[in-house]
Amino acid sequence: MNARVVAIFNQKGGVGKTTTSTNLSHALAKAGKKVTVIDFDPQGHLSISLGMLNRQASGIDAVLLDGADVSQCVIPMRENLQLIPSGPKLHDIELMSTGGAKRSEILRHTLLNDFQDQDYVFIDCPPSSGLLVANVLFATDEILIPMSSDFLALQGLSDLIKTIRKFEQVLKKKYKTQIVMARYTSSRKFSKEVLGKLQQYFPQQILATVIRETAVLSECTSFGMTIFEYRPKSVSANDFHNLAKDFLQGKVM
Amino acid sequence: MAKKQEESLLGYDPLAWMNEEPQGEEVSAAQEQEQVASATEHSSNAQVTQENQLKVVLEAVQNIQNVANLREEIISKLENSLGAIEIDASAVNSIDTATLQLFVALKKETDRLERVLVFDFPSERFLEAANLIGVSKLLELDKSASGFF
Ligand SMILES: Nc1ncnc2c1ncn2[C@@H]1O[C@H](COP(=O)(O)OP(=O)(O)OP(=O)(O)O)[C@@H](O)[C@H]1O
Ligand SMILES: [Mg+2]
Repeated sequence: MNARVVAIFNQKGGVGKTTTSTNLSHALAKAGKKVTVIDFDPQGHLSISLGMLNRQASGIDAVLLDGADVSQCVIPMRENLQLIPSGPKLHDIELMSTGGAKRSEILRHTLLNDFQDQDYVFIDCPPSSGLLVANVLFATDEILIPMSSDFLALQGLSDLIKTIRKFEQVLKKKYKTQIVMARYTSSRKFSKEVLGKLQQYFPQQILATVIRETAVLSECTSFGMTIFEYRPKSVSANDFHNLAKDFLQGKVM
Repeated sequence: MAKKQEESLLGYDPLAWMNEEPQGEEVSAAQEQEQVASATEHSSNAQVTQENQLKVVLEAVQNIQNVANLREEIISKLENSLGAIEIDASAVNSIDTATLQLFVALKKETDRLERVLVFDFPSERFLEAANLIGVSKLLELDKSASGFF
């Protein structure tokens, strides 16, 4: 069986891509699923969030640039959860003018063939819509869009959907696209309105559980811990636990 | 659409364009035929244009107000030469349905006449608009769009 590959993508920065990648993948791993996360952001924030501090370790950069084997760069992080770091050279790819199509092919081939023993592969995308993201969109068929509950995120989503449509048109495929409200400020009335808009335009595409904005979620990163390790009894641990259930069961709002 | 509801805190709805989908503004067959008919009835005032004069440069704003002039310009180039018509769409900031309809009609006509009509360097906006009304494939803009990679 092939792993279900999901790109965690939003070109807007700070909407919760990495936080979602970290905690959703750990929640699924805790539920007994075999999960791989790929840090596709040259900033390497996903690796840091999971507590990996060796920034020189080669990773997906070596797979794409040097033909390295995936098995050489996977790092077991938790039970059932393994990481492929970005590697120090991933940044170079964003600036390369040639070879994009070839790298996209390598990535697609890797995702199709090298994760047969995994249930899920998540790709934490960088906040851009440059070449790196083009590689990912070429190689995957499913997108999870983390959103924050503010106006500019809504504006950003409009552009994001246009980008996705463009890729769909050129690549002649249709992505399975889902949204997760990853930074929901429940104390603000405006947040509810943003969520309402999302429901209006994306019925049946928003995962049912909303991740609330909390201090503990912003804290745990600096300890290299997931929320299940840092504050297992917090509302945020509960949010991510429920989100993982939604994800598995396809529960949407 | 971006209708301001009572006590809404949202001033403008950036996703409103999605309501127009899918292909809300699709070019109707009747309109198309009309365009083709008028595109072909143009009288020729035979004067052969040089190949290098077959380039048509679109303005930043293309709309119903300048579409007639644009049509004249393209048709005269088409009639007075045999080369490929190149439409430079790089400067387009804003383009409306009427102009895109003209291109659809022209594209069909040039295909029929076995002539070549190409769009050079279409801008983001041009591509977006063509995507929105679902004519990018017909206009063969896919190749330009794939420059995105
Ligand atoms: N639900 C939340 N509650 C509180 N803080 C959050 C929440 N989600 C994310 N954050 C914090 O917001 C910041 C940005 O989040 P994160 O890094 O997950 O976003 P991102 O989309 O991956 O950003 P980038 O675009 O830079 O990759 C981080 O400091 C993170 O700890
Ligand atoms: Mg990130």
